[in-house]
Amino acid sequence: MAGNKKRGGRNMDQVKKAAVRSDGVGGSATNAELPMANLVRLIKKVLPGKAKIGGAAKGLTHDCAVEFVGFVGDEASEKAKAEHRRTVAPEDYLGSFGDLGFDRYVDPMDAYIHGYREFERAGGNRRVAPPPPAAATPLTPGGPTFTDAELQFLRSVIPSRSDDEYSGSSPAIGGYGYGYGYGKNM
Amino acid sequence: MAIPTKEEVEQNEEDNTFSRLQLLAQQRHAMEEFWRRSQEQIEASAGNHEHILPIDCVKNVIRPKNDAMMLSADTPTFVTKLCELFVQELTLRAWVCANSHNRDIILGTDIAEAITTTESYHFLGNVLRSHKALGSTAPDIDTSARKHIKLDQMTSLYHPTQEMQASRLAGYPPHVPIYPPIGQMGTQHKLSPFTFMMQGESLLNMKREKSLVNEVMVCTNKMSINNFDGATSIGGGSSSDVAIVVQQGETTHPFSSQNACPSLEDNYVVPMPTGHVQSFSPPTNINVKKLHQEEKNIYSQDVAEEDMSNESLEGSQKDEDLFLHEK
Repeated sequence: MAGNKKRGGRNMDQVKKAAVRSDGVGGSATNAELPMANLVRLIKKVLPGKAKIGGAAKGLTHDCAVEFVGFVGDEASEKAKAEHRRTVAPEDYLGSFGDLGFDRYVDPMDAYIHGYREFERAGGNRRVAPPPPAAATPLTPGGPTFTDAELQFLRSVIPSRSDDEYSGSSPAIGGYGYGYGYGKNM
Repeated sequence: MAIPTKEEVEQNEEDNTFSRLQLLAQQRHAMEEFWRRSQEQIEASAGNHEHILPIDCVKNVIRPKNDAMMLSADTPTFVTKLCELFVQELTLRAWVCANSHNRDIILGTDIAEAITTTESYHFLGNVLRSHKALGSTAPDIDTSARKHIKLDQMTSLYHPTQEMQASRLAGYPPHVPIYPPIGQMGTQHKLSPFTFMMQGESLLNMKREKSLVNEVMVCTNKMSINNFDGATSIGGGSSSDVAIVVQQGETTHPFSSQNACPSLEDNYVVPMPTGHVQSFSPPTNINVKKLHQEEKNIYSQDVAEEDMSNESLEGSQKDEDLFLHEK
């Protein structure tokens, strides 16, 4: 089923690309496309179960989303240029919302970016402390999870402590030790 | 989500004639709830949010627009979340429009209506036009309907202005004193025909005076004819008397005219004694005086009044002669 859906999505994308190519007046770029399956899932998430979406409505929503991203992005890049910066940051987008009439987006997006940065900062601590070879290892951003091998290693290093104390306070110390030990081995 | 939909359905059933203001109110209500839930979800997730849209695709959408600019590490994630919120907001607005038409299927017309209704979505007009170019005629109908609505609003706006003008005219105080001048104008118009009537009356009086003058002339003519008859009868007597009679006739003619003025009684009595008096009195003196009197009459009427007074004196003298003759 998933495969079929994906194939259907790809076919839709191809059809739209062809349509966009044939229509020279189209404002959006040829390679600027969003997957229709994800878009429909996002739409149905906010609507009640009995609601249905027509094909034309899906296409129109997709084009509006692409236009919106380009419109807001142009405004944000102009703000960054005005401040003589070559890097566009979320603050530029937040500033452009007021100019473009999207005041309702400022509060939720501000909360989102703060939460995201806090999350990144926590993850960043784990990544920055170990040496570069450790950073190269693929760690899941979901949270501090340890494999069985790591747990056995930690237990072998600190066998004297109890399980409660071990789980309560030693993970950080263990983490650091793990990093250092790994470095020494390398 | 089920609860507001039920409420919306009930509202639709209650309001048979769904107005644009109610649609906007429902949209506002739905948006308030949407933003509140979004805020709660974002705060609850604490940054550990799963994105439905792939970040790589969003990067591709952003990058062609900003060739010369670079993106910070957290911008693609930020824009992905932004795009998700936009799609959900647009879809929810379109869902409210579909409900206003009592439909459970969202069509392109509903999305076009949502775009037309929201001010911040004006930049999406290009997208609608491109879709029209591709061949979808539904947005055309929707936009035409919106234009009609705007035209109706404009016409409704014009009517109150006309009513205001009418009320202003009705309540304008200076209009009230304007009427009395009109009345005065009427009176002035009435005066002018009165003057015309006065002029007419004056003309009638003049005509009457002329008619009186004519009557006087007629009387004088009759008297002169009678005098001629008398003279001819007297002339038949003798040759020497004929010459005298002729002179007497000439003299009697103006005399009769003079006598005609005073009164008819004098006229009846005067011819016989005048004939006798003229036969006895010296004709030369009388002729000279009468000629002078005639000349005066010819020159002016004012002199005629003096002649009348002279005639009255002459009449009195003649009466004295009669008394002397009788004695």
